Amino acid sequence: MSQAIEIGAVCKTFGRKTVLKDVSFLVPTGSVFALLGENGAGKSTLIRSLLGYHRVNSGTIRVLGLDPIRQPMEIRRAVGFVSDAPAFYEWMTVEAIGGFTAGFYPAGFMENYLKAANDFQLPWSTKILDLSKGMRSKVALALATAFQPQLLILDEPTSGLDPMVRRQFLESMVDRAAAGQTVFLSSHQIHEVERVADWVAILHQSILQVVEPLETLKSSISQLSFSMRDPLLPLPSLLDACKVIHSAQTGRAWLLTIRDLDASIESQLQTSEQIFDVKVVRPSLEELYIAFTSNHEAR
Amino acid sequence: MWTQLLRKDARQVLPSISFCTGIIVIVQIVSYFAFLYQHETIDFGFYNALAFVGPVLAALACAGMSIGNERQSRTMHWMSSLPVPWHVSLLSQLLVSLLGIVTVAITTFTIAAVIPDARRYDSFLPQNESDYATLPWLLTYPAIVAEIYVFSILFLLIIDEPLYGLAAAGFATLFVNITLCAIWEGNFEVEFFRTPELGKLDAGLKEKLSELDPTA
Repeated sequence: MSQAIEIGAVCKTFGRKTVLKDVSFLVPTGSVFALLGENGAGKSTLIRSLLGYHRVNSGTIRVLGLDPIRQPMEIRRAVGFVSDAPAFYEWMTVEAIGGFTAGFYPAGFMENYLKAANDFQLPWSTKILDLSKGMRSKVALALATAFQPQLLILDEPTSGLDPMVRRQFLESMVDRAAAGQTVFLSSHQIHEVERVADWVAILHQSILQVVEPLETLKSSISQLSFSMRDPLLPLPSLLDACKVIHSAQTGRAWLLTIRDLDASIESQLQTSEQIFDVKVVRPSLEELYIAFTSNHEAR
Repeated sequence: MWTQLLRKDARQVLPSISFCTGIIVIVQIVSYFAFLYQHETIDFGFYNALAFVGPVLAALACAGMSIGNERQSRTMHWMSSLPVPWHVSLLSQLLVSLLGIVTVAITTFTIAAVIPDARRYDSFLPQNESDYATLPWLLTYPAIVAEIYVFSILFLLIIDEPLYGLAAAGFATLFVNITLCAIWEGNFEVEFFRTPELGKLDAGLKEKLSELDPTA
């Protein structure tokens, strides 16, 4: 499978602050790739580096096979981008902003924009100034998708959208991916992302914690919960062999997030005298996200 | 591409250009009638100075609206995501600003020239040799306006707050011009700092001094 985005050992600092530390991953063409991370994790910096706004200190970035620093115009012609707070000329109407932007793209832009604006029920002759935040986000999305970009990069695209439109929009991303377009999005709406993403990357404190297909990630990680009869006793030694991503203790109760949990360990725990109420569940993406970004001590 | 950019930039600076022109023209006309009513003569020094203020205001306003406003409202960020080379975008803003400044200059100077009395009295052009070096000032005037515009753009790009950017540009222009004039005057004996008014004051002072000390 060809790669829409290739990021290799990227480091970026602002002054003394490290924003991206040795980040590497590939985004397959035709996928919906979700980049998750807390505020300040480095998501926006990474996105801006993909578009050539920031020069990284070290490492390589290729977007659709292009170098963002050397070929920024080629990238802007092929990539649709929606920032987290899109800003337009407030005196322009919804129609005028489409007409203005159409001048920079090939023919057919305005027709696609009109269709997207109709889908989003945008008031055609209303000025941007008079639009709500959600409506502005819709204008941004309509503009970014109107030229049928090969790659769509969305930085928190659904913030400000009502749940109905948010769902409608994210589902349209799946259709785009099915049509061969690649969607790279960062979002805090983990529930929504879970429904549409093929791949997930989690960035935490400037370091990439995990990057995997969502299904693989969810099927390889288990949440093991149990209670100890004596809370002062250490955890059973058979758990030492497990790859624990995150552990949390509340009184007698333990919650471990474990990769590739062996079924035999579960059965051994079930029969242990010191342990009761053993449960193994498949975590949701939100639980995985918390496990990967939590600062609780992992064993 | 050019049509869209020029139209957008023209729309951006139009309110400020209209405002500058309107303010200067109104003050020119009101002051004209006020002087006539009160003194029956016109202080054309003040009157002509208004014409010179217009393009300076327009330079500040054009830079403020095209760069400062775009930066403040973050439309510059959105524009940078479009396939428009930055130099094309900047050139469009420069062209529109130049057109705006020239429009203001033509309007204000035309008004200063068309009022009949302006020709008979003290116009902004040197009338006789006793006027000190007004002509070099006139020749450097477009350069100063351009300088204000360029400094405004530079400082608006560097400083986040547009008002501080414009103020810094004003100070930078003053500093550079005073320094240049001082160097020029020292090297070429051109009297940049001597306007007709200063010349008269200078002559008056010399007269007083000679009265006090005839040997001096």
